[in-house]
Amino acid sequence: MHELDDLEFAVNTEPRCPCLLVLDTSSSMNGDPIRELNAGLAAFQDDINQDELARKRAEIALVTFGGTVEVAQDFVTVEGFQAPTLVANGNTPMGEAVHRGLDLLRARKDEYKANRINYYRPWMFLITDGVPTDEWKQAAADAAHAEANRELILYAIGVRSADFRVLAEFSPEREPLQLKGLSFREFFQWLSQSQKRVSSSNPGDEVQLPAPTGWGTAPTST
Amino acid sequence: MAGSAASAPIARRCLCAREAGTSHLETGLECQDAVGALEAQGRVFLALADGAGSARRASVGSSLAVASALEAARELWPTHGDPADDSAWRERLLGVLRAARSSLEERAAEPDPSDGIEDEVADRLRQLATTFLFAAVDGQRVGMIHVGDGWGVIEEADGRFSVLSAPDRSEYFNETVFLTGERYEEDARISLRDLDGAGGAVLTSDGLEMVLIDLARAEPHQPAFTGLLAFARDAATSVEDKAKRLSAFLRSERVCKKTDDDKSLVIAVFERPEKQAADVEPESA
Repeated sequence: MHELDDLEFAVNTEPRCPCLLVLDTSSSMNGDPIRELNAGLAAFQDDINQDELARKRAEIALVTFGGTVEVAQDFVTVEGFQAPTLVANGNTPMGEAVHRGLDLLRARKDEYKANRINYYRPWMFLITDGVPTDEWKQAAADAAHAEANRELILYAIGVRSADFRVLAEFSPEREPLQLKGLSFREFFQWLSQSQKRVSSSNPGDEVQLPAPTGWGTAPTST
Repeated sequence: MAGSAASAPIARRCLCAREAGTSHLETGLECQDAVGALEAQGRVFLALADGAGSARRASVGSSLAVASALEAARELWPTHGDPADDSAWRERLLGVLRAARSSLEERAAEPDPSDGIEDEVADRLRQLATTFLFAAVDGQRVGMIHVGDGWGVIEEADGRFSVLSAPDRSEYFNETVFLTGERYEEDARISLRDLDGAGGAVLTSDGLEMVLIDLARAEPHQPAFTGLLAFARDAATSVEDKAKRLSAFLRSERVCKKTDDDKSLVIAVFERPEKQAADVEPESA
């Protein structure tokens, strides 16, 4: 299989717009939150595939943290993305998940380079409703350092009672946003629109993402 | 040709064209690339600027950059003669770059009443963001100064094409450096070489690289450039007609299928040495 996987860059030479979602699937996400998250992912799959260019250029990967850290989806162009049904379980190893995410991004960039594929600056979304249960400070420092080095753009999003002081340490350059209620669908619709916009941009077009109207607000808790 | 392309003097042996990309046409944006060429006293000067899609007044920035670069060249070379060595060449090219940058700073210093948006000077400068490519050719040497993406290509004496200056890409596909950047002098790359019987030179914006450049090898696509230069040399067609046909080619479906970005070209055909001796012309262009 590995040899055939390598052919994806020969078949599709379009520049890639990688997006990594690091998702909290700990037990506190059980019930409505995980259901809405899964529905949002499925809607994202449908919506972004409507756009011919984004289908070939936007890539998505999912890292989940709930009890253990799993790569629920390694990087794939969205035309090949099948939204999984995530299950909520266990504690919140956020630090390990962010480290895994950074490794995944770097490995993907290496693949682009080896295959001479152009790429946009990757996005990482860290989404959680809780507090990390592992050693997270080093991961936060590493993520902040990676962003300062222009390796990626990190958006931290808190759901319900998330600890926004913790999230702010992962993205010191950008204030974390609070998801309005459980509006995961609105978030994923925004993500789809944003990826369409970026993936149709040309060199020199620094893209302004749409405002997070409909799903995000400044955090109300501290 | 329209806008700055028409306002820049075009010599008999130079050919410029620019066309808006389909993505810009769809959103009602004008072409943000600007082109110009000047032949004066046996020297040829080429300029091309690609306004940033994200900047509100990018087409103003690119047009100003091209016009002021050619204006500076028109003054600097006759006043000081051809640069004597590499260090003089560098200083001369930096002089052109600074003139282009100054024209943007001067424009940014004036509030623009038509804009309706009151920006700070620094922001107004950012709204003029453009790349910058300028090449000068005298009887002996070719020098190019380049900020951002786009390509400079030269036709060698044997008819093959090589890169004079390659794009300065950041790691990421849609990010580059601009003439409006704080570090524009550090970002500027200078290429100098002997003419060595070169037959012509071409500047092109990144919008055409999917058509003209073998991106895997980062080399000019030989048949494409051979065709372009043969077209530019064709003595049976007038420069005006050639410019029209070149614009039509840039608008054509086969080009638009490969790129939705603005695209522009400045082509200069140098007279071959044996021809130059027999064909010394008055500089009436």
